[in-house]
Amino acid sequence: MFDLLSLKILIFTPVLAAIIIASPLFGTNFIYIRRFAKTCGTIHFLYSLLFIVFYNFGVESFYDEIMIFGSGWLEKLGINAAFGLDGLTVLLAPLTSFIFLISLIVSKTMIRTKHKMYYSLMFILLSTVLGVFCSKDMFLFLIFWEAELIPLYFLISEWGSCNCKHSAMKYLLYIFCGSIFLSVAMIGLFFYGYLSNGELSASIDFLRVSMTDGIFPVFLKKLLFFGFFTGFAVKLPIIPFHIWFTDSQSDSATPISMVLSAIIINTGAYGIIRFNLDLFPELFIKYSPFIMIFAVINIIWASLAAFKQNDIKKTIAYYSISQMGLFLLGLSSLNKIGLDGAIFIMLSHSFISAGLFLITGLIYQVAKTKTLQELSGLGEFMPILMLFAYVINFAAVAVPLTIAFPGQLLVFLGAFSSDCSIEPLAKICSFIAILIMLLAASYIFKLFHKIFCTSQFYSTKKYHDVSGHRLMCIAVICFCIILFGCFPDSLMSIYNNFTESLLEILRV
Amino acid sequence: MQFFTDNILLIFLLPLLTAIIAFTAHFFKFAISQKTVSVISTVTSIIGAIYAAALYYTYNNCNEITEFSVGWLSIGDLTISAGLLLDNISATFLLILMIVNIIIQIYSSQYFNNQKNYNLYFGYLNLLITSITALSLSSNLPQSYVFLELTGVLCYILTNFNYEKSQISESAKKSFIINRIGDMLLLSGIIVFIYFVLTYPISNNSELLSYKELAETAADFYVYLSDINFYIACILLFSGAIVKSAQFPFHIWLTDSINGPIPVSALIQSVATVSAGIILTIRLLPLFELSEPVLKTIIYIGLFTSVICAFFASGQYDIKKMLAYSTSSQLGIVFPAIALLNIKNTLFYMSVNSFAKVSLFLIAGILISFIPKSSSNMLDMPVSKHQYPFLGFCYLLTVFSLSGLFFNGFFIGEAILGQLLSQNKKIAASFYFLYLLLTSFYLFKSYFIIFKKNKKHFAEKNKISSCLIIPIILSIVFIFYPVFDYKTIILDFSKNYEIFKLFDIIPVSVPISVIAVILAYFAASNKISAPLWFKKLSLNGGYISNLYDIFIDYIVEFFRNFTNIIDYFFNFTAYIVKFFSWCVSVSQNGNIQTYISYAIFSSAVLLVLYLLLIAGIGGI
Repeated sequence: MFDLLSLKILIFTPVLAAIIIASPLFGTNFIYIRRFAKTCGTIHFLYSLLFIVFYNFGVESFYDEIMIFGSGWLEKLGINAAFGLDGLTVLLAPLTSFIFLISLIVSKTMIRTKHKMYYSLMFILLSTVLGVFCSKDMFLFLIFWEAELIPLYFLISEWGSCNCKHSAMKYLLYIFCGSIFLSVAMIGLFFYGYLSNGELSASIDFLRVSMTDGIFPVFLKKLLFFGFFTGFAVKLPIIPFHIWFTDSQSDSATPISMVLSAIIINTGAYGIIRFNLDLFPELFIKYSPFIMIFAVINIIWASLAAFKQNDIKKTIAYYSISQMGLFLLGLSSLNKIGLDGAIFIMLSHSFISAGLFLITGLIYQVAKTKTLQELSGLGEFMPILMLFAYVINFAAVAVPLTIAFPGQLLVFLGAFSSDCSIEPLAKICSFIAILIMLLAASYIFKLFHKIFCTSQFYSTKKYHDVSGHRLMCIAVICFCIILFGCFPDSLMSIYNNFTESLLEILRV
Repeated sequence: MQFFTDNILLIFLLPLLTAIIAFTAHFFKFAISQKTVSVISTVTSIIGAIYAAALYYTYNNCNEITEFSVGWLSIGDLTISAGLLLDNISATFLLILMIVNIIIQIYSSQYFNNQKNYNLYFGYLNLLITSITALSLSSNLPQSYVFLELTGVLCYILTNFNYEKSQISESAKKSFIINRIGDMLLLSGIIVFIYFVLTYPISNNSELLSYKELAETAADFYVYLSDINFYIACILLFSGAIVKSAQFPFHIWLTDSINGPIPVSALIQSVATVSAGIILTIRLLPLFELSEPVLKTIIYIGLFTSVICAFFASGQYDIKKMLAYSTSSQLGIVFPAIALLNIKNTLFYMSVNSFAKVSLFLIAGILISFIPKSSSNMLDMPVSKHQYPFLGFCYLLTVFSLSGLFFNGFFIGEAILGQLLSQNKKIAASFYFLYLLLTSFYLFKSYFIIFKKNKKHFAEKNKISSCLIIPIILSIVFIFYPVFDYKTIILDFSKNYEIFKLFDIIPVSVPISVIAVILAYFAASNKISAPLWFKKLSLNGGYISNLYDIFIDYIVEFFRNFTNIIDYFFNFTAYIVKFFSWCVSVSQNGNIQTYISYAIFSSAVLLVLYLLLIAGIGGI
């Protein structure tokens, strides 16, 4: 059974699907292309679910390596194409596949041109994101990280609206600038590992060992930490590097927005856990007060900025940023509760922001606008959408028994009980974060009421409520939100070992 | 009886199942008709009431506690469990809830007749009932929080039920956000509490979080924390109850929420908010009673609210607003009753208050439906006592009970007052008298205005459906039928007047009410009148709502400008880059003449520099 569950298959079948779609097999028949894409997405999602089913709850499992003629990939340089899943990524991989499946399904009516290119780019993007999550090798991670830029750049610029070309360029520049820091830090780490140990290897496990027992100069370590952190902070995004995110969110098409906020942001969060926390634990402990302050600034700034937006999508983008601030707050508390909470926020945020963007997309489809002033009274025409919007909005403000609540509770509690070096800082940060989350309630519900309630919007046009595949997608998201909200332990037990191992690294 | 205790989960499952049926009926319209849904809903509510009565008679006179729990969320080494706690408090709450539930269900089935969202309404209503049931049975603090917030959310959804009207949706939004403030304060209190349990040396069991063990935990908590920290933690926890029970300064959400449908308002104001705020305070009492300042704060917040909201209520002509303020005011009396550590009194008072509120709201609902334009102004109500003697009689009975002149209301009022006096709380007692005066005043004033003898516009006599009458009769019966064994209350009462003598108390409290009634009679017929500014202050609820608006607007406006800074900074950087690129683009325009002129110009410059350099060296 283990052979069947190969990470190579998981990561590279989307590329295969992309090639088939791009090939002249389907000609210009976009219906076949779409059906094929959806089928592939579904199969891929089911396949990725199998990894959870057969996950053995060890710290590490499903190790897989690409061998070329009996030797590793670029073995002389110490770079191997090694993949593996641990407690966190075994959840992130199916989540990625799930969000892609949903966005492929809703693409039916939202993407109307260049189907062939669109679906093949989507599959390439899926493959690169999975590669980022599954890489056990630093340079492999970097390759997938950079490769992610290309499909996403075209996806934003080709199918967006307004000045999407500009936003896509912004996205490219920002992430690329971040990647420069990242790659410099990686090269530095790689060569210093070689100098101190005499062995060329970019494997993350190897580097972790060499970091702990090597004679690393502290200053170099700090530089590397800073490089990694900047690279991931741009992607997360941490204020002030967030402009690319809000702009590209507001201009890209709905499925792309969903992927951007639900998945692409998670890669940044994953990177911080994987590199900054895992490789530089003592520096992370040292800098955790600063990271905590960054996190709180992120939450406050994003919440306040969300108020003034006229664009629905931008408001939701700011909501995502504030959630990532919560993630960072949980992470910087450096205890079991905080780490559990941070990872839970990663997962819950994916579902919620995907749901919020989906709703926005559905509204955009009928009302042809995403400006807040021009919308009102849609609840009269779309009661079913409104019902689902209720669920997702309540989840967004972390009402209990929805998926966001356990995460937020754990993060607040973790931050409150963290043994931060500056004594009352953690407690103050935790309280501020709690109070600021009030603002989330007020801007999310301001949006909701403006869109769905009040009927100053008299139009002769009859809007159709959601139905068919769109109804199914949004219902599935709502179902997940409530299901995992009622049984949070089902998710937490899977990544429990992962946080335990992180804590062990931190304790050393 | 054993059956009921063993299958306690049924009491949640019945309304939950009904909710699911109603939602199914709403979304798959072919499945079940409206009538069936309402019948199912009413029948399950009656079964629930029977169930609750059985539980009540099992648990009432014994201190037996049944508890069981399962793990829900693991926090580090600690597990938050989801459990049930059955004792006399939760049994009493359940009984009140279930009886009010029957009343509301029957009334709603008529009130929402032939509306398109009929089934949806019943779905939400039953979900709300499930949530309040779970709240009253919850066995630990985090679980209470979960259902407290869920109750708030469902109240919001029901208030926002007719969301097409912008006024309704705006006020629903406002009430929801103010509710969130309370939730967040409570959450921070809970976080402090859990933090204590986590850092407590011998805290390896999750039992510490449950209410059953709270007394022991609280004692340790008290020793562990400094006085001021303990006080802050307790007030954070209590603030959840303050907001839910609409105490000053958060009472404004209740006056906003009355814009919803009448049965919903009746339910929110009689059971939902009451049980939410009060059961939390009762459960946390082992914690609060350790510190005298906390108890004092509870007493004075309650009494102050009861007076100030009674004052606001007395200026209202909108019957719904008046009732909302009166709810806040009457709940204000419950808190001193809790803080005096007399749970029996509290529960008794709550039952009186709940049924009275339901009956007033239901009567108001019928009266409002007579007004052609949708308004709830008392002066517009074209009814008279002779037209609807039954309604007038019911209204009068309820008002008598609420103003402490009659039977149950009288007994409970005297019991609380006696206790205040016996603990030598003179200021508190004088607050109570003021409250009594104002309450009797505005309630009787509303009665005299609505059921005036000579009204100008007599509407035709409308026929009132029996589905609307039966609930009113039921609620009146439960105001006067002593469901909750009030023998102990009367015993307390008699004990009190042994100490203070019957004539010491009755001449004070009853005459106050009587004076208020006389004042109300004259005020209703405009024979006496307060100064205009005084009236305005009362009518506008002390302008507290306006203060909220101004405050929020100001803050949002301030930060709106503030958050632009980053955008400006990045745009500025972009402009600089653009400027340089423009400079470069000017120089590289592909024109051969330009290049030649650049070449000549720059070689000239170089030449000059070269000459200068030589001259310079020569100079040295």
